[in-house]
Amino acid sequence: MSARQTAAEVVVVDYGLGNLRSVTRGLERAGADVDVSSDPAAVSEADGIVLPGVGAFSEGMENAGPFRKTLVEQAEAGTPLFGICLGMQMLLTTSEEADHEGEGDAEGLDLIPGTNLRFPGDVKVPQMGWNDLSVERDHPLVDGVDGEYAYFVHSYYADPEDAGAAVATTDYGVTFPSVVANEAGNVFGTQFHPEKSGETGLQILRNFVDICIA
Amino acid sequence: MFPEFEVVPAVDMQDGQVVQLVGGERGTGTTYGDPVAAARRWVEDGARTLHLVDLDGAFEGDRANADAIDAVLEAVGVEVQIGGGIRTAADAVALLDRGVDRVILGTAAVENPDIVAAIGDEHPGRVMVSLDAKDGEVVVSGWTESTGLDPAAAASRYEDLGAGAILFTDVDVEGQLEGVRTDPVERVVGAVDIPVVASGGVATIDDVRALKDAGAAAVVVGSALYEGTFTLAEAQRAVSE
Repeated sequence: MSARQTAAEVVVVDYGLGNLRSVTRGLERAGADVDVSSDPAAVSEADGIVLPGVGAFSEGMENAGPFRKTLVEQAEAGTPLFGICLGMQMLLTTSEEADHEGEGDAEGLDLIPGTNLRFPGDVKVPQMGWNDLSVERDHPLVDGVDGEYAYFVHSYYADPEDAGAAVATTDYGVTFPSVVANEAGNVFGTQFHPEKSGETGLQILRNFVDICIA
Repeated sequence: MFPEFEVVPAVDMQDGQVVQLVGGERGTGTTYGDPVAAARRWVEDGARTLHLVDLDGAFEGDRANADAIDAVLEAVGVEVQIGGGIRTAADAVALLDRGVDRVILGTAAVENPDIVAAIGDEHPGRVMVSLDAKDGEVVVSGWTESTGLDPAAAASRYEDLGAGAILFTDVDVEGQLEGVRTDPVERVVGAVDIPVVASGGVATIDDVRALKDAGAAAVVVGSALYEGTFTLAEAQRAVSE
């Protein structure tokens, strides 16, 4: 039981989009106690929150609507909030994807001011596969990580207003932030899937677990 | 996928065990123990992608290795492509929902090409069409039936239908550890813009290099890794130089 007492209790927000099995497995491999929940109340109890996501921005925000208030409150209270892929994009203010898909505007969580842009026309979208990370600044999420490869599947990328929000960058037609974090440091995200990124990804998930119990 | 050339270890499963068949024939080959142990080892050795094959599914059309597949997905966090016995769009989607990154369709794609578009529309880039060639023709059903299709023409057709990648297996050299043939690979690579992953018969690091030079985006390696002819790290290093 002693190990259990120190394990981070992480809630994976289940807002009904995409498959949460891989991310759950990844967090468990990193040593977290994982609760996949569709209940906003559960989110406010957790040591850390993971906002996963697959698919379109507007649909994601719409589905995550019931969580919006709790996520913003928890983020402001200092709880670690980790967005993955679309979940990371949702941490920003808005996305071009809404225009492209003709879904009208969609408000992100606005925890990291900025927008999400579509890749320029000259690269193949989605970017699907391995690409490398270049760590731009210190953040506990990327401790022990640099120049490592990670697994990406996306057509849009974060463009934060504050260039300092980019913790790591990746090149794919453009140089884009592949890891972002807010100024306080407790709201962060990866455009790539750490749960699919081998040892590098596991290191990032372990770092997240450490952040949650710190 | 495969922005850089990759050496992808094969984890072919039969009755819950890793097995490497010779020439694709059932009852041949050697078993190599627990799929989870194998998968863990390949990931520790630096694999970024694992190639899982449900051989019972390929021959029988059922999913006898579902538990082993789940156990592998549970154990490792890398890109996983899986094939063998995926006959319907529902089979494919169920695997994608379980966290598989790419489904490999062989027989189903040949018998019902529209299935590629059906899955690909919902899950862009997630369908890899497997073209197994024997004597220059595409073969199906665990390599027991010839179709008369030309592999390069077939690859181009599946690209048009939305396949994200082609897996090209030269059955004549598969599992023999006698080296590869690059001409058939070059023909398929020349016919499409999507990545072509080569498999079959890789015996040496020179074979890996030859397939890279032939334009393959990745190469699936089985027997040579299990037999220790070369290590994954050695092969990956040799093609990165």
